[in-house]
Amino acid sequence: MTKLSSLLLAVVLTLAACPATGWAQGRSIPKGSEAKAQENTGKLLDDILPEGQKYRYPLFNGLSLSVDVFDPLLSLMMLDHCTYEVQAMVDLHHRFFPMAAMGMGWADEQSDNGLDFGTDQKQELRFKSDLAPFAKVGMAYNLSYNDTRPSDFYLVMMRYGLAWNKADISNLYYANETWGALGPIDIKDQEYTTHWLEVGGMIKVQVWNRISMGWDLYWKIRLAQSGTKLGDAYYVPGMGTSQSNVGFSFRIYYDLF
Amino acid sequence: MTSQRPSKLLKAFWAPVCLLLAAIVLTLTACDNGCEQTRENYPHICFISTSGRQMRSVVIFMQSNDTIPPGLEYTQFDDIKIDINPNSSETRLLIESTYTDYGDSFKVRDTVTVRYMTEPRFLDLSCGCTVTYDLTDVSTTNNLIRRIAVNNPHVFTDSGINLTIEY
Repeated sequence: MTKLSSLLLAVVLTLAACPATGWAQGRSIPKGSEAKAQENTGKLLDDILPEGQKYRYPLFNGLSLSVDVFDPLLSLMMLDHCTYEVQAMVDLHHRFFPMAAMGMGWADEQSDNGLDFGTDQKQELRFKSDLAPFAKVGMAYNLSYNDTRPSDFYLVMMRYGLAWNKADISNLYYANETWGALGPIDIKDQEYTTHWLEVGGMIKVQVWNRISMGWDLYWKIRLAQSGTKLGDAYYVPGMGTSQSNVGFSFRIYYDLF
Repeated sequence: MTSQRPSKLLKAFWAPVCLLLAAIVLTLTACDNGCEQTRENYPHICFISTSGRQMRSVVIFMQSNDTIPPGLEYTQFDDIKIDINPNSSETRLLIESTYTDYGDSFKVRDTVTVRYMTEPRFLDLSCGCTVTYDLTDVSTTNNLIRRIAVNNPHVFTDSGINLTIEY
């Protein structure tokens, strides 16, 4: 992504987060007459907190499990790669949310319409990565941690990811104007270990009883990758393809406690 | 009069729709800088005078597998790209140098033999692959050239000068 794109994304994320989260004690920013009513109610409820008490909610305030349904749904319709992810998230004081995720991912993708590398024929490259594991750990932070509506979450988060996968890349051609084309080349059993960071925001909203829904939107930053002597991995389980630095998840949560 | 609060489902969905659209736009506008630059990997050579002779021009012909493409003439000698054959493990550089010495002009030929290993390097599904070279051995005739040295055996886009030729 260009710097301009990064800047735009940051602005969009900020603008989206602002109305949903109060920066101080975290109430939504109200409007008009509703604003005054909410403000008064908020003040009253704030007063309920005994003097010296910092948090409205206890240290252990819940544990939830979630699955990401966005990637599996898209892979059924159009994608040639998929990530299956389960995440556990602990609610501490409704403010800090340590989380751990694990899952598996695969890819079997070909270049669109083939590529002409001076070989007089369109060549379709193929990147195939078998089902491989990944893990993530991180922390989310609730800006409105003393909000009186504990079922809705507006969080900023950071996660660290680690994945291992093995890939076969086939039907590569290298065209040289002077000496002609080199290929087809197959690269077998490339083993990658990838470390990356995810930084972004997430929302979780209770929809029924213990069931909640939410989404994450985040920026992916690759920290390191090994096994890249013959090129970087096109797909990393849990991180996605190298085509985009933006990640998105749509989650269904079940609150265990 | 009380305003109707949006349902929780609606609340959960409006923002992702907006942001997903933004993300898609940003992803689409992330311009592809093109594959041609990243696909080019050539060894770079540099000529250095250690004899006081001043080279005026040099014409370099490549030879590999009995093929000799047309030669290229250079008048700057500090960074010359040479196009070695990725389908072979050896390419010869037929170097025709024109230099001046004590006011007279001379033309001299040397042959530099470069041996190397070629490795593919996958870029992505849009760009395919490039190749990198590992220079394993170089040798030269000594008509004008005094010495040849490998500075950096690994040939990749940012590897700088790979061969230094003293004359």
